[in-house]
Amino acid sequence: MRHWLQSILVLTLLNNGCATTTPPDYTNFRQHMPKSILVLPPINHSIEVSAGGTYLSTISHPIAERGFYVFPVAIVDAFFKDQGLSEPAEIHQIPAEKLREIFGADAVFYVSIHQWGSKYHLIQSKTKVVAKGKLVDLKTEKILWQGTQIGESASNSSGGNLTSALVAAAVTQMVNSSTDESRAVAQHSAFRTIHGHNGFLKGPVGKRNHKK
Amino acid sequence: MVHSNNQTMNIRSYLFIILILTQACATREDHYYWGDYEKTIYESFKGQQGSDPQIQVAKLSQLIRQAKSLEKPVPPGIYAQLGYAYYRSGKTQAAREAMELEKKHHPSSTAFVNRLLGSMRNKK
Repeated sequence: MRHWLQSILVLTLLNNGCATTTPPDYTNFRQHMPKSILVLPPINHSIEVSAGGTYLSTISHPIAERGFYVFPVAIVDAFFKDQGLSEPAEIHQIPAEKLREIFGADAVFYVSIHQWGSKYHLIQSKTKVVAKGKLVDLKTEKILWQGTQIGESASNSSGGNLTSALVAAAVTQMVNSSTDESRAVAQHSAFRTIHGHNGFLKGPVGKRNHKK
Repeated sequence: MVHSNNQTMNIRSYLFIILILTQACATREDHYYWGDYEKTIYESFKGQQGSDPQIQVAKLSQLIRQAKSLEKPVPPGIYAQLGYAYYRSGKTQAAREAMELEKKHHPSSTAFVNRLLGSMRNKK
């Protein structure tokens, strides 16, 4: 009985903390370790119009803290619009060489959003964010990393929140507005995706011994 | 006796596993000072009141001040974003100065910031 309980405890911890699937191949990432990453406006397949901008507002923090320079997402977005490119699908077609020339970036992060927002059921609402990302080296056009970001939270209408194991506890303290909830779910799952087991390798920028 | 020894061992090894797990997934301390950055950028995309360049200038300047007082580095993109907000509110000189600081603190930004500075000159 005791062993049984202990095994369950360990299994729960494993499931909560770091879910594992087949580990990705980091050979290209190691060989072409970027210093700077350009995150392009995401292609939005969800029904939430503002998903792209909200996603962009959440992604700089985890990537920069992983050790990379991240180009300012809002300026990049405005820059493309200024050039007459407001459709992310068009932006994703720009040749790697051109992106390198304009931004001086080492790698580009292509993102597509597949689910975004809350669904209301009789007694509870569920918020889900699903985005696929692909990091590509701008010199060799090799894929350095790809993965899927999945974030989920559920809250019941009685006011108490039931958060799925995937989402950190802080989410439960969010206000009930569904856009804020989506943003919080996106923030937490972005961190888990970039910093987690199968996430980005650690980058070279902003070493911890930084002194000013 | 043997039995209790075994149990101690078992508990020890479980504790060890738990220790490793909690270390691997511990909350990390940020290298940069982020303040309200994510909310500020979110509002700039939302295009509501918070996207007003003067409000953006105020919020980003405050973030930079707080970072300095905490002796933490300013994250990538903040100085550039501040420069862009200055530019949108017609303060070209302040815009240029902030853009230069982005280059100074984050040399990877140089090519893009120079491009932005160039387009600011052309539009003037």
